[in-house]
Amino acid sequence: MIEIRGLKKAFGKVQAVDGLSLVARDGRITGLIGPNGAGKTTAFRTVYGLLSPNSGSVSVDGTAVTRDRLAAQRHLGVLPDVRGLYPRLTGREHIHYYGALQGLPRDELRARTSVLVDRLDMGGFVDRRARGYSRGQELKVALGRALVHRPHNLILDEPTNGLDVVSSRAVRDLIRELRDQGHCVLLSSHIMAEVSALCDDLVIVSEGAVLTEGTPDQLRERYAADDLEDVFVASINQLAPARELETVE
Amino acid sequence: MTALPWFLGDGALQRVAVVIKKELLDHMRDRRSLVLALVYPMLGPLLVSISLYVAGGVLSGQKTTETFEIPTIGMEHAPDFIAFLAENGIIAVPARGDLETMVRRGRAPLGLEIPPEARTGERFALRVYADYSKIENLQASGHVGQVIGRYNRQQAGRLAREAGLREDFLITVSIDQVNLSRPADIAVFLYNLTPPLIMFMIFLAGVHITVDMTAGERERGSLEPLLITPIERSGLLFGKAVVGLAMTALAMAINVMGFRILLGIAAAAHPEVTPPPSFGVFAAVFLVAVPLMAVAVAFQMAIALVARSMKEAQIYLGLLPLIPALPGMILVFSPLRPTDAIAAVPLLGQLTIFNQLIAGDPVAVHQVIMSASVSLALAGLIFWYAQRLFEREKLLFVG
Repeated sequence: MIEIRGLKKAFGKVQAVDGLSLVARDGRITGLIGPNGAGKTTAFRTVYGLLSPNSGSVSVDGTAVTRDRLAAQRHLGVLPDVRGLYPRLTGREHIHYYGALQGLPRDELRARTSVLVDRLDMGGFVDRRARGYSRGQELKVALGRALVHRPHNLILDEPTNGLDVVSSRAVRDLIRELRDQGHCVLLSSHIMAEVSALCDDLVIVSEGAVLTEGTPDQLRERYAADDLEDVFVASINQLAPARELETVE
Repeated sequence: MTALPWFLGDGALQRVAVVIKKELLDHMRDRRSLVLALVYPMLGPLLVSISLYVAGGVLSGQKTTETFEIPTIGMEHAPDFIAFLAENGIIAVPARGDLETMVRRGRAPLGLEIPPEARTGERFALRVYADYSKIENLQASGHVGQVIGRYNRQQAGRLAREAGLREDFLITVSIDQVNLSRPADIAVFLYNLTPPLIMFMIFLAGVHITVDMTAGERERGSLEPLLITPIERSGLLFGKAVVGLAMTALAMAINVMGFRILLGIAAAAHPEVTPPPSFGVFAAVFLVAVPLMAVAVAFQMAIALVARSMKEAQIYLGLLPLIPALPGMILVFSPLRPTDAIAAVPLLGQLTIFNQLIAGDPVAVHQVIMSASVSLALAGLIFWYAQRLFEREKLLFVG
């Protein structure tokens, strides 16, 4: 489980996250959505220990990230927005590298990699060097890298970005499967259809704070909208008049 | 809770080993890294060896060439003089064209012009056309000058004898020139050029790989996922530093042994040339250089972590090798006396020890230890600073 409580983070005069709180529960897929610059990436980076909060707390499976970053990171599998592969290493070597850094024994690492290669359908390219991979192939390797140590909690930033329809469906199935196995999945996506199809819980953020949250059905009901895109737009617009009022005052 | 040093953490050194293995694998596949590591270090040795080979050949030529031809105008005016030159290995040949042009264009080392009055009188003004800007002309002119001097003395003696005077009556000062210049001196000078070139390579050899592992990792976006893995940042940077040091050491081994092998080949081509110092001396130079390699790698990492991009880091670090190499060049012409104080100054200490080793002078062991200790301490200090830079949140956003 990932818990964020009253998180604040500023970069100079820019308040990137302003009192954000959310809970991503085990066995649920929680979607964090918001416009560009809403503070999603900053919040994620704080969860996986790359940034320290100015105030508030972040914990992963009860371990405070600021207190024991390494312990928290052992329970996390992360698919960042920038996949960051090494052009001279093969897909398999990427997965081995990350698995070895997680401390997996060699035999287990090999077996686990084989499972992931099959599960993510990487057989055709996994032993080729990453230079020249398509975006979809890059994403699959990055996903394999994130899952190699069987993390209980997953943070997925745009998990199907760049994938074709078949591969997207396979990744969605995998995410659901992980959810069904009891994993906590926190994802961010700009594809509302994907968010709608995958997420059990939604948190809409803007300007570093939560605008609204609930299950997709609850949100649709709250905003009297048929689809999540309308919910998203309505929640963002709800903030805009308030901002205009502040300006007038 | 007291924080343990990072390397005492559970499995910390194993994770460092994983980083080292990955970086070695990655860079062994990088053709640019390999070229820089294997070919670049040979450039200095090639340059100095070719210089030695050419200089040795030119200077040896002075001694081995028994005769050479000189274009001459007016040979018919002084047959005795021409015959004297021929006896001394200088063959005057009729000039085909303008002497000044021939010498200026390098078609002849020098030219002689004998005036018509040489036919009638015993005294005449010989005009010598020479271009002293070329080393090989200097040798030829020197030789011709000596022969003409001998002819002059011979004639003066004859005239004095005919006048009933002592043969050396007209000679007040006789010059007995002893030419001490020899190919060996040029060789020793060129051997003394190796320390600054070695110093230059120490600070250049690891630049590409170090920048690629730090600023490059950030620039291609692979740093963020890597930092999410449970590895201590100090351990991660340490693993990268070990690889940087290993690649620098490999390049330096090639560089130092390249100097010995190529200089040996160049020197062997000319028997008069002093052979270079032994392989043992160059091995000692390599060992003395190791602590400095650690300084270089730590410094490269710190600069690469401060730089906003790979390109910026490469610009800074491309200039860095000049800083230690320049004092080295000065020391070639004005060597410092090795003292404990100098040994304790990083760079200067090693340069002085390199110079002593190459010159075959005795080296004080305590100065070697002192120089190594100070350099290792400096490397540790710079690496500590680089670690602090690597811990910064800003690390991900630089650029």
